[in-house]
Amino acid sequence: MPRPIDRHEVRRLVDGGAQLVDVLPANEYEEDHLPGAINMPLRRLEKEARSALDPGRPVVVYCSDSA
Amino acid sequence: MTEHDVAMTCATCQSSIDRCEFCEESVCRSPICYHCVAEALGEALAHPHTHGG
Amino acid sequence: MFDYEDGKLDWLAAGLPSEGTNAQRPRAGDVARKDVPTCRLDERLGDVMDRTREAGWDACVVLNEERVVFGLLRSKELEASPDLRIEEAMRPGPSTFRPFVSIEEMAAFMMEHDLESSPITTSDGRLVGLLRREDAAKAASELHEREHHSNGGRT
Repeated sequence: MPRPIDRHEVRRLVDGGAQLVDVLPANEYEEDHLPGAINMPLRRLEKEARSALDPGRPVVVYCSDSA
Repeated sequence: MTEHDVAMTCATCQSSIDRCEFCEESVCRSPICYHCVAEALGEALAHPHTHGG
Repeated sequence: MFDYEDGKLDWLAAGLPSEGTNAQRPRAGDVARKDVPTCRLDERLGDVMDRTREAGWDACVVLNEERVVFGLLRSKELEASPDLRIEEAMRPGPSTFRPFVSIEEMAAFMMEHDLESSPITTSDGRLVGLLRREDAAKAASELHEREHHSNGGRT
């Protein structure tokens, strides 16, 4: 179960080498995303996570907001 | 009828409001409610993502 | 695995940097004046008005110690009796807008509602700057010109 974090912790984790994953649809990712984030919409996440992400580094996922 | 009795209606959704939530005036030619102004300015989530997280 | 639950809107609302096609377009937070005069609730209006006018402004934002916006003094409020305390003179709880809002949308709304200025704040209410109608209109018009030219004049 992913652990909920706030933006301060996001910055700290990313500074420490964490991988940022934007799970929004590609068009929303193209408009705006957090610096360095990769796009992996939810429907692709399960299938592609193993190949696209480094298992040795923390992963931070985000969408638009908590709604 | 006093000026405080004047009813305003959101120009977008027609809900009843006390003042325009953009300019904060009780006299406004295009009054808008909090919800509609947030949506118009992209402050509200346009497309909810229902994935429980 | 970590979940940034507040997500992208929270990040943008805090005025933090982003990437993507929208990052090239000015937003309310980019155009808002960061040098707007500010004051505290317990100051005297006369002192604040003098300071505001000396700085060449006709608006002043009322903040608490954490830079959270409590009120706004636009030109009308600044003209009230100089003996008033700021908390008596200010427009309390003004509508505030987030830094990521498109400058074109803000400019259109400010013109339509004849609003001279709007405080831009982070999601936790801290002041980013004051967006003035003329600055918003100028930035929106420059953006329109730039995009019109980059489209080879096509609309």
